[in-house]
Amino acid sequence: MANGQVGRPSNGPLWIISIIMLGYAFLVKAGVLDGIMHSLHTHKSADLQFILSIVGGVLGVAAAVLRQARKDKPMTNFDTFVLETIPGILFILILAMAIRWYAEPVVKIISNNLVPVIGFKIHKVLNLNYVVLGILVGIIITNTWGIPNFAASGVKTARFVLKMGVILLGARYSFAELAKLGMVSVWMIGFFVLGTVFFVLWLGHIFRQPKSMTGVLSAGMGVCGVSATVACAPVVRAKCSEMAYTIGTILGWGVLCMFAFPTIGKIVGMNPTQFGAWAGTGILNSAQVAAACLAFNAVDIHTLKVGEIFNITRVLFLPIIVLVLATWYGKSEGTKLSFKEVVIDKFPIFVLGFLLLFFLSSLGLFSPPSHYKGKYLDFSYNKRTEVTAEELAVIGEAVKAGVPGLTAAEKEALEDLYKQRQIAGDYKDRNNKKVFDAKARKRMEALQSILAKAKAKQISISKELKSAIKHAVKQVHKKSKTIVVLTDAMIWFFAYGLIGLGMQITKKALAQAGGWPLVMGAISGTAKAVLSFIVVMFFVKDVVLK
Amino acid sequence: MFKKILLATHGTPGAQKAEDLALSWAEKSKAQLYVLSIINSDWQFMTGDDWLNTSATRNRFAQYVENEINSEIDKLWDRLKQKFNHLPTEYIRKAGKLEEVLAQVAEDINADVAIIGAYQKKQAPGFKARLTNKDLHPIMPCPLVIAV
Repeated sequence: MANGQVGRPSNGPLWIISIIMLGYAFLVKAGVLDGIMHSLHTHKSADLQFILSIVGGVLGVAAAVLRQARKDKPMTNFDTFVLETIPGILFILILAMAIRWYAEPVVKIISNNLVPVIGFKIHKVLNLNYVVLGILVGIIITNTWGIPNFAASGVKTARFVLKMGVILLGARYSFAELAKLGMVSVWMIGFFVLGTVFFVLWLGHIFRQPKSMTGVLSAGMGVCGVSATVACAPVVRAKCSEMAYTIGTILGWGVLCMFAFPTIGKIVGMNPTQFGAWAGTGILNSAQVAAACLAFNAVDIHTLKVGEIFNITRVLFLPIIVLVLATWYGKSEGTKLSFKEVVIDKFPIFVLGFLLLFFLSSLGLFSPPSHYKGKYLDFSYNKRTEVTAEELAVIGEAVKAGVPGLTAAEKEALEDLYKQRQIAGDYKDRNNKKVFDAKARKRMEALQSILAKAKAKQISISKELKSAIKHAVKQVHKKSKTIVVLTDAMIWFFAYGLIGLGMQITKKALAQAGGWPLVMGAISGTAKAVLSFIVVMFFVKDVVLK
Repeated sequence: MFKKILLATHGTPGAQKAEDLALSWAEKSKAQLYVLSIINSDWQFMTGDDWLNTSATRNRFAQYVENEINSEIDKLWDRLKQKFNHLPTEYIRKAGKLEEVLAQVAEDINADVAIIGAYQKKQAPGFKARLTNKDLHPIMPCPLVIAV
């Protein structure tokens, strides 16, 4: 079903967006915005701001010219899938840029300034980062002015872009992580997905509700929200009113969870693994899981990684649940569906993309495969891994004065760091890589041990020394440029996709919530959220990823 | 009195009062009766935040919803055909925004009057959408009668 009208709307808005983007690129390049960027702490992204604006602007101008030339000609696939989507794509992109580089920093500054008045940082409590702000902006736009006609076609690309974000995330897992998290997620998702589905079916039996309604609600509450309802409605022959009530209930519950989960997670002090596991299990919609994980922590993608594994496991359950419901419903109603209709058509193909990227990454296409196991460390003598002159002076003073409470190995590692200005093996061993690396690794571990002791307050070291050691450790960790680019792209894909997702959440759909689906949805949704919370808090204590 | 009466109904108890009123006026004035069923355009937003399904699955859902709505309208019309069997009646099925479609059809058929059901405090089960006076009144080309 389309969202909004789609035709060949006027070229005016596209020209305006393109000119704004080109103008912005010019202002960034000319340095006019340097002062504002510094005060908003976005100056480090100046290059990216220029590149995105110039690319967007040029693309917009090219599309506007082509659209003008093809104005009176019949629509072709190129028009429908390329030219007519560009205005909407640029519309979301410009929103994402404005939110990322202006709205989020401004909200942070206002929130920090309000601390003396209200006593807490409101942006931290409400998780007002670019993801949450983006979804909110999307919801506000669609429910006030509505998605503008010129952007309607492009907004639909958000679904595709979200899937691309998940696919790119595949490059960030190691075999060990996927195996370990995969096992935990299969158990938890298996229990809670199947548990919720059967619980709703049981509730339907208790409240004497039609099978078509309980079937469609059980899929939505158990598997992945509205997506499961859309997939299952034809299978269980749901009536229009049942679909409307169910979709309204699921959408409302999902949106509530998306905003409530990160706040609750922070209040109870969940670690990223716990939160990712809880969000991945308790929140209905897969995109809402991504949003909640990024709202919980938008900088470190650790939470997102855990949440997405749970998510993907759940998505893989969708065809199984459709099969279960088709069998359950078909038995009593005498309808039969083919295996293709039930399972193959419902299989989420983008999961294959995720797995493909994971395998390519594991084979070392983007960086050496050992990178993910923490072995990809550069201990060779070079300028890049040196600490700064100021840091070296701090380390020198500490070595001279001595740090009470250090073991012999830690003391020696600190002395070596001063001597070599970086973490490395002994120069004489440089031709024997095994010995050289082993010694360097031992020294790095000793330095990390000093940091851990300082954190646990077992020893007392100055802030400057701590920072110098941290820097030295950080310098030997080599990052793959490809992985960094993929991660940045992934974050932008999620930001873009989630703004588009916000635009799909209409008050008209939310207003449909009601009837028995609302009662049964509230009972089963609360039960799943609370039970998964308890399980996560008691059994998922370890931080699995390193 | 009337030559053309437009009746908009979705078959709920409130709308059935409009059906009765339209029937009685049509009988009295021997008017041509037009029965309008509107497929609410808001259904197009009902895939909500679904992003997992392929376009094929979403299209199948859209097709299914369309078929379901049509079959509900068919059932309603079957009942009305029996109720209005002695009157010249034309049935119209349109999709769109409730107010816009009602006003447009009234204009197209040159209706003398349009009849709808009264606002019900508690809606009957079904798609929750109501006509809003603010949107409807300024665009209606003929008198509008609310049956109570």
